[in-house]
Amino acid sequence: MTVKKMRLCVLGFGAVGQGVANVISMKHEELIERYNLDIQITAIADRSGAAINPDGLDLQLALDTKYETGKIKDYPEFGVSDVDGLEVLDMAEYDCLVEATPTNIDDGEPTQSNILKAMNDKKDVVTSNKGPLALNFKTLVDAAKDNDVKFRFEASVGGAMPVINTARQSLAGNQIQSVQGILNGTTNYILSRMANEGTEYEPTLKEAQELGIAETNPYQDVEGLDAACKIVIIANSLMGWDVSLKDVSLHGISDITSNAVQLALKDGYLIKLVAEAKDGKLTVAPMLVKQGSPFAVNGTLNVINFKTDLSDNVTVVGVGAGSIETASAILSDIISIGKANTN
Amino acid sequence: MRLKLLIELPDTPGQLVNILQPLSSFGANVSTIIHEHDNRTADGKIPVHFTLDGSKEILEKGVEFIRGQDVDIVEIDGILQKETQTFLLLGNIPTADIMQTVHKIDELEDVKISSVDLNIGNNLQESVCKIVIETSENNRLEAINFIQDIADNDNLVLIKEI
Repeated sequence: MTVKKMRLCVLGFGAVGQGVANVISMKHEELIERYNLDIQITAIADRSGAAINPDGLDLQLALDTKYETGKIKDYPEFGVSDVDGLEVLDMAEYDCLVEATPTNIDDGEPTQSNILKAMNDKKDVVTSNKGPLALNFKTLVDAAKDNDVKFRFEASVGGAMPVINTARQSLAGNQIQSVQGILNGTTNYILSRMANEGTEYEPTLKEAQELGIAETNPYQDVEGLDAACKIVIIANSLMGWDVSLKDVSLHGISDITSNAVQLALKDGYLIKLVAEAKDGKLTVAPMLVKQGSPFAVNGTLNVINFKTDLSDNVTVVGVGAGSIETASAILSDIISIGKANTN
Repeated sequence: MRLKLLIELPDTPGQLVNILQPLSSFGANVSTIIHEHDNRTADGKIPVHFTLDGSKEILEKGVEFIRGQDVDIVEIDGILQKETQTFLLLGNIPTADIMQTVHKIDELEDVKISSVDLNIGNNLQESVCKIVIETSENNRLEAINFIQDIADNDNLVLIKEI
């Protein structure tokens, strides 16, 4: 069987973009051997500019350049400065866009424009970015359909934990009646530590920030917005709902006290930030889960439970974030597109 | 005919015999008994599964008898007769105020509070209350919606069971 070349344009070269470069560099030979896919990255862009080479970039050199100067425009010979994502898409030769710019939940930009341009240019798209998916899911899916291109977003929902693909492939034929899950690793870490160590919320958040688990501005995580984006994407893509972020009833974890955690523990309950799509309603709120139940996952782990008509309850547990873990979900989408295009 | 029952009994000697002996005297045959000592209820009772064999009349008489003994029947042939639900109420309010909220919940029709556990913060201004309620038949969702309204009105955070 002939080896098919697949050229990627990676927009966004933070933790996720670098993770993608890393896993493709690491797995290049294996992907040729197992899937007959010769995956090359022909363009990488960050805030500084881009590196563009139609014959494929040296990924180790791209990673080293980013590490040393913090700017991909400093990539030797092929570095370009003062270009935005849309311009890079015009300049690059590629088959599939990997959109990994930071999430913007106010208007989904510039990700949404980047994705729509790539689709209108008849390119496939893989993204880890929740913003535009949670705000304008239908616009993106319709654009993919109208242009007859593939659009995958597994990494936007649960990092390395397979959510979309589990439901679409392994549970094909099932109707998903409701979904409940712990979809944010930062809040799960904080609540797990509060339960295990008896600590208060504020110092535990600080500890998570020192460990790099919580961001300097933890607002989107602790107030439930991150989990809300994910449950919106799940409801739209797996349950056929037509909803957006404003439809989620939202309550974060910042008012959970150590007293509350300890009182729940006395009866064998843990407090977890649960996102659910159930009975036509989207909710993100702290809820009580029984110790020993599938939802009682510790640390930064994520868990999702699908209630289905044929398979009853199916639960998946996995690592919800991290550079390589998220890149693994992106890679699985890239391979699935590459395989589909070969067939 | 055969009937599977799940009941909850206090953990004191003689409780089960007090139920089973009269059932036998009605002509019902008790074919299985399973105690769930490791799965006690919030108020310390032990769930007991048992299967009764007998004619329709005997089984109906048996169920009526058990109810008459003030014993909680949780399930009959897999159909829930009573559901328990645990939740937390929390807020930066004095204890007396949170107890007012508990009273309002207690006044709801078809909701029976089976236990209340209160934890008062160090500054006496932050209270957490754990409440276990029992609801009959299928009004669990309705009950929890009413409780949500009460919590919202009293500016308390309600943490429900998943």
